Amino acid sequence: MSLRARVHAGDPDGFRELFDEHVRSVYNHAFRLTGNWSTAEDVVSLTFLEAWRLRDRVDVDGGSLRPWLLGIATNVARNVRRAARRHDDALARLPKADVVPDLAEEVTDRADDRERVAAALTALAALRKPDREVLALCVWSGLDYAEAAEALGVPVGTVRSRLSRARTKLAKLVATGRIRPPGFWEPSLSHGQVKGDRGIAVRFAQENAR
Amino acid sequence: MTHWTERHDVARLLPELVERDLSSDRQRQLQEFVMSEIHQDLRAAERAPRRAPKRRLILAAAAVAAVTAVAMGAGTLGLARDGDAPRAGGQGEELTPVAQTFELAAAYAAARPFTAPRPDQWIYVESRIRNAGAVAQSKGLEPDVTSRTWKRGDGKQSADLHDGRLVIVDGTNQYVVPPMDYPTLAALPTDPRALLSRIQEWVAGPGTDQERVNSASFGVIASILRDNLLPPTVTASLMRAAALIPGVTLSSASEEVDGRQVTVVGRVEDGSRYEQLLLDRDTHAFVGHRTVAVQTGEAQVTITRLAARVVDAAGQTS
Repeated sequence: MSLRARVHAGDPDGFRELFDEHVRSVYNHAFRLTGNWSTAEDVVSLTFLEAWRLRDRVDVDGGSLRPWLLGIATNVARNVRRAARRHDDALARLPKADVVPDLAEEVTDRADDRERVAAALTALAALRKPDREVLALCVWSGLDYAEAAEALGVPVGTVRSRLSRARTKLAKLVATGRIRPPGFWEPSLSHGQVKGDRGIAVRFAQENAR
Repeated sequence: MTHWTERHDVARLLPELVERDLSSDRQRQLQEFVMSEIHQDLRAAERAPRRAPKRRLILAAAAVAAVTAVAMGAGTLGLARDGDAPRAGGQGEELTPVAQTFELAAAYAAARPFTAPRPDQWIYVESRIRNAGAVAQSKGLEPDVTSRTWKRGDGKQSADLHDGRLVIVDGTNQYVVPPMDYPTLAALPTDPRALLSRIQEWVAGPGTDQERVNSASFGVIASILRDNLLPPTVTASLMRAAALIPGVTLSSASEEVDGRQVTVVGRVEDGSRYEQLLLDRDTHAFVGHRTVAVQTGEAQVTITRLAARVVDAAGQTS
């Protein structure tokens, strides 16, 4: 049985597999929308709980479930509290993360990465929420227009116009010096190292957009 | 095509971002949390006839209270909070106290940090065994003994201490049913129903009556838990599988054993023995296994876990 069919049928092992396959995507997308890794963890849990609740709606035919999950994650990230209430304060039952942060993760945060994250969050914060969501899906999560439209449940034309609005806004920020000019972030030879299993540079839209 | 150019142009304004992973422990914790909620929803759906097929995900107030109490570090396993009205729409069924207890034990087990042993490493389990009563005496069993056992990660050897001497035994003893080597146990299904089916296949042939199957299955789960250190997902699944066996009851919400406050769940076997699992009252960590005579209420054998860890060689305890 395909994963889609198992998810639709409510097979718990299918959901275990779904989690393994997409948790990284959901976690990182949630961070881009909320700016906070801890909130991103909550979004991860609530996203998969929502996916279980909505499993009947999954089409047994179709490709990757990633757009569907990222769409759910986008909804959850919009209002984590409302999503939590729907799940009976599920977050109160969630085992709390250790107070001491995972030191291994801290070590791999280079100054360069922090600067990039700060720049990304600055850009995202300047946008209206609908435009921010489309940007996060299309640029960092690598969805194409049709997939982003499916994720958000809007027409493709809406995705395009939001992306266009985002581009206009970001261009203004460049003009006022608030964000770097185009090409500044082009990958150079000196960066892009793979750091063990802790970080994999996302080959962003530059390579995919043709 | 213009729309691709648009996306490309926007992308050039933005930095590439290094993606992060959750730590493997935390990722597993979140996954087990989600799986736990899913399994509770499935159980709730089984108890109630379907009334609202698309809106089933709900946990009863009792389960929320119980699990929240644990998350907050509180001591008591309470049932429904006073004043909790049933949810609108008539959804949800209460988990029985036994099912709640096992679910809490599963959640605790699933959240433990664990690094699997390399094939040449060993799983060390240290337990205190107390044999009491006339039967034990007549068999010449020592009343109070510390058991130290080792199992190789690849299942090819096991070892224990006899009179202070380390005795290593070769061979997986493939004639043992159920198999008790680490690789077989570590590969048990993480789905509780599948796991219970597997155990039932081990213990019963065709025509075995259901009570004997239930009795033997509970006994096997108890001994697997007692004698092994396994991946958290498997331990959690064993706890949930135990909850599926009919006839398991909560005999004591709080009792002291070996200086620990424990919750006791168990099953009467052959009408004469109560086989019990001892779980930490507050965390629902696995503490031990006890056999109690039904007629006298006397504990006959009490086995409590002292330590369990991966070590590099048989004979090592840390």
